[in-house]
Amino acid sequence: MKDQTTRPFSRHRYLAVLTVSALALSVLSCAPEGARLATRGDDSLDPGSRRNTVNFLDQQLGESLSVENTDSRRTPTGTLEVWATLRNRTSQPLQIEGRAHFYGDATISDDSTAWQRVHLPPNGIGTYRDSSTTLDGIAYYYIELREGR
Amino acid sequence: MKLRAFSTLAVLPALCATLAACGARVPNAEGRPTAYEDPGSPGRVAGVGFESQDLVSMTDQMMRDMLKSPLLANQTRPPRVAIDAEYFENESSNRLNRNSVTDRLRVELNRAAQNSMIFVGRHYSDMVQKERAMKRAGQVDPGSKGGTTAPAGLDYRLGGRITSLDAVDTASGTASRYHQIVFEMVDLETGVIVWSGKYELKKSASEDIIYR
Repeated sequence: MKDQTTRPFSRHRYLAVLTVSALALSVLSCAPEGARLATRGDDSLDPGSRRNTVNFLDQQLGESLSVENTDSRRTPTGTLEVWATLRNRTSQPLQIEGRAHFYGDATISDDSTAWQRVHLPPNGIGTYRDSSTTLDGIAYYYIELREGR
Repeated sequence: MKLRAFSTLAVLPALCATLAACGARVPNAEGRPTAYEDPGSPGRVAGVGFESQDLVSMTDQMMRDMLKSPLLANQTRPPRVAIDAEYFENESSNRLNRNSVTDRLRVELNRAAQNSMIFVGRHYSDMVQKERAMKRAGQVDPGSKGGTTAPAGLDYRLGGRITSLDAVDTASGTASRYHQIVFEMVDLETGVIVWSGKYELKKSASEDIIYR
């Protein structure tokens, strides 16, 4: 009579493990079909809730740069010109890039501007300035700043 | 039998080590896979020359500045303008296709101007003359819009220049280059410069980049 306790793995156990593994693999591979609905982010980060503001894309930029003022005006041709007065808080030359987005009441109404470089002397000030291409349908602007690359 | 097995076991590691050492001396580093980059930002290959992010930023600024000019963009009768490289000179040390600058400026401006300016394709003159000749020779019909006395004349045309200043530190090999790009719109009747724009940048680098 064979000693059952010394047999390493019975045939039944082997089949059971194989079956469970196959089931697990099939469950894992059964991902829902189709695209996944995008989720909305934090509303406080929505540009619509930050109208006519200047925003830092690099988190640490606030330690070296401050925005003293931002405003806008209509040019003689009707385009919207925006600007931000920047101050270098460090004793080193600072290089930043800025771009502006222009929005209508519900959506972006103008092409976003290209990144524009601004050089700030140590402890000095500089101005980021840009303008829209469209005349009508602009309700507000949104300026982004990042460290120069 | 045991001695033969031991000899085989002793030789195999030595053989593998020899092969591995030979392989290690052959340079066979993996290359970087192709990746798309933002044309408006510096890329992985960068030097002191005029690059895509400079082109994008410059043409965007010049285009928006032109749209602020009342003489260009706020006339009762939209002026006819030509934006091409005919009178845009490259006097810099950059290897640069001038058409890449003027083409981008013209396209962006035409899309944004919303008929406040009329763009004449003077660089397509040959194409226009051939079609007009075929129409008048009766080889093709007059088209859906009928004929005109002559192709459109111009009110303003783009001129400009790219210049640069180069310097190299022979001790460290660091190079710097200052670029100045000037754009001007000239009244083709009076010669008056009705709009001027300037874009400048300065770069320095120790990299050895080849521009083609």
